[in-house]
Amino acid sequence: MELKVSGITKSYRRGRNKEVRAVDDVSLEIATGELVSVNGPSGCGKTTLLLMAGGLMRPDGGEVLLGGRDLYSLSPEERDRERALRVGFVFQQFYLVPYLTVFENIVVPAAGSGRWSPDLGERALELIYRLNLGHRSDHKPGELSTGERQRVALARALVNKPGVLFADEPTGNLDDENAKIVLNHISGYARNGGAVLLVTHDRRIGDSAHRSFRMKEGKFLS
Amino acid sequence: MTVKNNNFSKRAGIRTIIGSELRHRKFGFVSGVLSLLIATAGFVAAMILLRGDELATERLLMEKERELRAEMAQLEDDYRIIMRNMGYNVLILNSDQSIPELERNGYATTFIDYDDVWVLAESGINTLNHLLPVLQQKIYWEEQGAEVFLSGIRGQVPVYAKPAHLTDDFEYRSPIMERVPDGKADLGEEVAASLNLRPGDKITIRGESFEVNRVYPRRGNRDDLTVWIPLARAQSILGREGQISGILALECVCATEELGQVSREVAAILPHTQVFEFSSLIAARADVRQRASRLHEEILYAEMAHQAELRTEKERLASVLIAVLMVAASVWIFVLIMNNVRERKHEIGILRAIGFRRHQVLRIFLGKSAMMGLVASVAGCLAGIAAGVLFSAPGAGGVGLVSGYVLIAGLLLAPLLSVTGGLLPSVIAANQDPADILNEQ
Repeated sequence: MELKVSGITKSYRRGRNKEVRAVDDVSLEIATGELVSVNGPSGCGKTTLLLMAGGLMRPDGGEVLLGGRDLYSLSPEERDRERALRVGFVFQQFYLVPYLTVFENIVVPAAGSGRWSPDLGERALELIYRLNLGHRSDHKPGELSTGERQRVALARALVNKPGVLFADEPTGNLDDENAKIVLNHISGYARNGGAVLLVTHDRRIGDSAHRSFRMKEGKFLS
Repeated sequence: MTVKNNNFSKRAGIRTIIGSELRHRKFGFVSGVLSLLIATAGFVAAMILLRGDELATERLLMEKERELRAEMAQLEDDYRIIMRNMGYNVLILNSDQSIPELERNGYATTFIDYDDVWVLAESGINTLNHLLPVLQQKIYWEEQGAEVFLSGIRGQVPVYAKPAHLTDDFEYRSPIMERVPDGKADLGEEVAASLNLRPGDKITIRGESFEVNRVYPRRGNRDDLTVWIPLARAQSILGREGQISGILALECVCATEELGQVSREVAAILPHTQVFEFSSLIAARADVRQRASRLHEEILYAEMAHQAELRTEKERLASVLIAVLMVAASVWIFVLIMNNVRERKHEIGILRAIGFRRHQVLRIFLGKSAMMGLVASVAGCLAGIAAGVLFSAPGAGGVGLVSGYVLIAGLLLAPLLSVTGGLLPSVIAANQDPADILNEQ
């Protein structure tokens, strides 16, 4: 199992005495080659679940096993490294670095993971062509369309060949055509042996997933 | 198809991020560099100006010392002349001469041989500098119908123990008393005024002809009633060939201040003589010399103290200004980097999410601060040197005023200030929780 989430919970404090349970005893397993989607309305805890599963937010309870390793038993540095090597993220807002070119944005995880190699450069170019960004490789994010930006973000997430891809509303800002392109690539990644956890409030995306969960008020609906 | 900027590697990654971001946000970079440049340039220029000022002060003090030494030499010369005009320090007389009688008459009534002065001069005595044989009598000047002191002089007899004072012709380099040329007579002011005599007038003294050589200004003493003529003519007029009243001797203050020693040495050479000491004059002379010397030192020390005080004030002002510039530059860097951290919040979030560690984020922001510092250090040093050389005093030394220490300190200052100012914001950036940032969407 590439990702195993067991009984994780997370609460936020709102105001002085009010505590909101964003994720409540959620468990989930994703095998290699599997695309799992989590649907639900805004504020139901999808993003919190994704951040905890991706090693970015320590849960209040439960555990997250990534490739068999308990992420939150690792030191922060080890967790950073594990994330750099095994995880890719795609967000609705893209979060591209505005002053780097398309190519540089795609290979920037190499600087973090220390895994730069000529092969990685070749793989970045391959992704650029595959995502139809060849004519944009030297452009800055500000010069790209919204769809192109999300494709760059997707290429960045995939360049390290992560074990698990976490996608948070990856089509939220895209038109139908671009949403389709992005979803096709995410599905293709899963078909080629990757594991994907995709959270969205768009029910249509569920059709592309191998398994879908509905989430409400921090819990999976059965 | 190729990619132009395919230079992104593990090693170059952070440098590329820093360099690209600096080019992307030029205003922040330029304003940061400017603030550091001003601080660095201010420091370097102030150091150069202070150094130039120090050298100018040294030159001024040396000049002042030279002037004071010249004034001191002039003063000593004046004292020497004054001492001559006041009378002589030591009078060597016949041992039979009654001192009360001498003081009563104003001249000696006994005599010694003229050769005695040569015996003394050749004896090797070194407590005396100037030996002046003199024959002096009060006479009634029949041709003019007046009483005057007739004084026969020949100038100084060379003291061979003091060759430094003598020319190759055994003449004194700075004679204490000028000779009266042959056939001439010098007159005291009272004599000339009462007898209506002027330089060039022909006079006769007891049948001997003379021409008035000069009239001395009024001195307010017996000299005003004196007529000076060459010694040999006086001996002839007074019927005292080969004789003199005594030897006027001026003791050298450099050799000794002890009066008794002069007496003992003279008595050992000329046993038939006695020494009449004008001790108060000698002591006064020494005192005057010492006072003048002290005054000279006091003036110099006062000037040095004044210059030192001025320099301290300038240094204090410069250090306050430099400190203000440094603090302002550091605060400005803090504000700039803090603003940069806020602006790049999402960038930090995603970099941390995709595996950048805290120290790597810290390096990105500190690297940016250091870049500003490095650029500002070189530019600031150049600007500071230019300003320092331009505004330093003319002839202060130009680029030679720039010391290696100032240059090294100037080059280190800007990076130090920028890293100091950027440290806290960089630490804040490195410690931001990526989950908090990414969860905002």
